[in-house]
Parts: sequence; C-alpha cells; structure tokens
Amino acid sequence: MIALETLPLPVGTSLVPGGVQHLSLRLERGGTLWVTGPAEAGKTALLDTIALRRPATGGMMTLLNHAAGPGLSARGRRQLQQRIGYIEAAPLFMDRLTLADNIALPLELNHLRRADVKRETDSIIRWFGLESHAQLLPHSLSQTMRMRAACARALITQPSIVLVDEPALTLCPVLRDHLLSTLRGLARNGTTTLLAMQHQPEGTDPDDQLLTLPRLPPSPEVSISSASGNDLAAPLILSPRDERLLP
Amino acid sequence: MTCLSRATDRPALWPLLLGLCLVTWLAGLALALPYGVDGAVQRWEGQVNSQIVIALPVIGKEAPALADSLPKALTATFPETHATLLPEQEVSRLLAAWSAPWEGPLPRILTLSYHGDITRLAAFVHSTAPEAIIVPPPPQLTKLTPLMTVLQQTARHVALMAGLAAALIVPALLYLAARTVALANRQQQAVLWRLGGKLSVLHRIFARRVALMAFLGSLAGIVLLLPSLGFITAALHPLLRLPPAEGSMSSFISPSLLPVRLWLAFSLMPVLMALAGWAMVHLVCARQGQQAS
Repeated sequence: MIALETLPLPVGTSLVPGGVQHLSLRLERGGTLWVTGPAEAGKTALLDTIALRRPATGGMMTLLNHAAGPGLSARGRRQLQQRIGYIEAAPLFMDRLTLADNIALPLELNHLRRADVKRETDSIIRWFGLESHAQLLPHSLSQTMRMRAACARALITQPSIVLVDEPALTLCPVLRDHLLSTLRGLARNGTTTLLAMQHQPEGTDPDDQLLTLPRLPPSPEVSISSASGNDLAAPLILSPRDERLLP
Repeated sequence: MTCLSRATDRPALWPLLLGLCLVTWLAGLALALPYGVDGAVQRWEGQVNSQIVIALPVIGKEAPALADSLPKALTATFPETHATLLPEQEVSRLLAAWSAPWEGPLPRILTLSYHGDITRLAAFVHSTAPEAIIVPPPPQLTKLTPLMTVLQQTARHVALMAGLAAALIVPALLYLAARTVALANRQQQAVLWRLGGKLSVLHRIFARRVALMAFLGSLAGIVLLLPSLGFITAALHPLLRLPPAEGSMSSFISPSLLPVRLWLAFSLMPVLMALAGWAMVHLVCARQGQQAS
C-alpha cells in the first residue's frame, strides 16, 4: 500500500510556477498506477521519492503501512528499500561483478542460502533471456541488455512495490511486453506497481489507475497550455527573423 | 560477504605503502637518535680516565708507614675513591713504560678514582704527606661536555622535528589512501545504498585493505630500519671503543645503545599505522555519507 498526503514534488517551472507541486494519492496492495505527464512533470521525482532515494521534505508518506516521511531512520529506510524494486532510467551496476552476481545481489543482501540464491538467480535470468550474458561484466553489454538485467535485479526478490521508469517501457517493445506481463502476474500476488510514461500505452488493463502530472495548484490562471504553449518569449539570442523557429 | 569483497575496486595503494615505509624508516632513525647519542655519551663518560696518581717519594724512614696509612686515611675521608697502593712490580712496570730504566728506590704509588674538587684532595694529602706528588687526570671532560651537550640537544631537536613531520605526513597519506579507495568505489556504494544494503559492510572491506597496506608499509620501514641502525652502530663501534661487530644483527646493534622500550615502540609502529588507517577510512566514509545524505 502506498499513501501520499500533500507530498511536495519538484516540477519544471515552465509547467508550474514556483517549481513545486503537492501530491496526494492512495494506492492499495496489488494496484497498478500509470503516472503520465510531459517531461519535467515530476514522474521520476515521484518514483525516486517512493523508492526512498530522494528525501521527502514535507507532507506524509506511508509505504507498506510504515511511515516513510521525514525522520525515517536509516534502518527503516534499508528495510523498506529491500521490499521495493525500482527499474530506474539509468540503472547502476557493480562493474566488477558479473551480470548474474549483480542480479543476485538483492538476495545476497537478504542473507539467503547460497543454493537458494543460485536457484532464484538462474530462474530469473532464464525468464528475462539473459542466459548467454550471465557471466559477462555489465559494461560490456548493450543498453537493452542492461535494462533487462535491471528488471531481473528489481524483481528477483518479488518485491511488494515495483517502480518502473519510462526507459524500461520504451527502449524495446519486446522487453516492455514481457515486463508488463510479469508485473501483472506479480500484481495478482499483491505487488503494488507504479509505471511512469509520458503517455499511457494502448492495451493496458482497464483496472489500472491513472495519475497525470503535474498536479496544478487551484489558481485558475495557471494551466499547462498557458505555461507551455504560445506565450513563450523569444530568447534574447534569437534575432526577430529567427523567431519563426519557435513553436 | 565475499560477493561484495569481489565487487569493490582495488585502486593502487603503492603511494601509501612507499610513503609509510619511508616515514617509518625516518621516524625510527629520528627516534633512535637521542637514545643512541645518550648511550654513546654515557659510554664515553664511563671511559674517561678519572684515575688520580699519588706518588710518595722514598725519603726518610716514615715513607713506608705513610704508604700504609695514607690509603686508609683517604678511604675514610673520601669513601668512593677506592684508593689502592700499587704493588712494586706494577710500579716498576709503569716506570719502565714511562721513561728510561728507573735508578734508585722505587716510589710508592697510590691510585684513586676521584671526580670532586682536586684542591681539596691535594690539601688533605699534603697535610698528611707534604712530599707527595699528585698527578691529576688530563682535563678530558671539560672538552667533551660542551660537545656532548650540543650533540644531545641536536639529537632531541631532530627527533622532535621528525616526530612533527611524521604527525603531519602520516595522517595526510592515510587520508589520501582512504579518499582514493572511497572514490574508486563510489559506484559500488551507490548501488548498495539503492538496494537497501548496509554501507558499513563495504566500509569494513575498505578499512581492512587500507589497514593491511598501512601495516605492510610500516613493516617494510621497520625491516629497512633494522639494518640501517645496524650499519650506523657498526660504523660507530671504533668511536665508542666497542669490539668490532661480527655475525648476527643482535651483535651489530648494541643493546646498551637503544633501550628495550624503543624496540617495543618499533614493533608496535605497524600495528598503530594499521589502526590509524582503519580509523581514517571509517572517518572518510562517514563524512562522505553525511555529505551524500
């Protein structure tokens, strides 16, 4: 379960004056939420905050029935982070470990038995079609393979919350379909999922919820179209003749 | 955790190893210097000739009786002088070595060790035996004392400066090594933090590595220091009037020159360096963690 109450999130000043939006939402166990919006709308910031990588500066956040707002202890943060799988835009790996070791790392951190780690790792490597790359080092792999490995690493512990940033859903259609079907299976077992994209893709589950960012303040004068549309002033470096280059 | 141990980057820590080796060697030499100088000064002072010779010319009949009573009187008045009447054979041997064959009756000669005021001794002896000739030792100490004072002061100043330099250089070397290791493993730390792992596990691995390098560097410095001290002591043997050095290292380095507590300090130095390296890594990583959060 994820519950946010007036959580401040950064947003591009071209979208919301002041650069901050306050977000409240509630997502039950097993729910799937599509977070959509233009660039700089705060989608990744929302995922980062829920993944406890960005400190919450205000409001209230409850993750898995634990208060996770400001003042969360280091121990509490670690325990929650181990139950969250985050497939980020640019996944980081330990460069001296093979892909298989990197994927197995979350299980190692949970102090699972070596045999269990090997069994689970082999299983998820097969699931994501990484068998031929398992013993390679991450820096020798393509971006798609790294993203596959990131998916495998995020899902190996069958986390209670899965967060997926846009590149995992747009980089490769095959990977996207495979990932979405996997996430649906996990959601049936109670995993809560947040997926961030600029536009919700077609063919998604009708039960999925949708959140469009940015959340605009109540002032009627400010709207996305007015902020991002025709009122753009020409930068000073453009000559009057070049202004036709503007949208 | 073996997996994390394999995952960590191992930047070259040769500068730390070589730097600590050199610093330990220099600090060891500087630490040994005042002790060595003190030891040498004591040895020289011990070998300074403080023997006073009193010759009693054989004039008159009371001379033999005087030769028997004067040592007793001297011992009673100056208890630590150990006044001794030399036997006739010794006197004749001395005189034969001193000049041409002695003709005439042999004088009676007394020797005593005396460091006090020579006029007081002379007054006492002449009050008992006015004809006695007192031969004082050559004035060695008056020439040696200023030289030894300068030597001791210089040695202490050198040791102090070396200690201060080591106190600056060693933490700087350890800080650089700790920072190098932390920076080289920044990505590993970031991955572990994102996965909800304890960073202290990685920090312990870094600390172990830096401590090991610090220990090895300091140990190499000690290994270099021992023969250096041996060679210096061996070179000083003629000056210290010691028998020429032969054989093993223990005979090379005179135990009277360097005390046991100095050897203890030398043997503890690698352990102390390792502990300092271990602490420095934890300090640097903790600061890095604070800045990151």
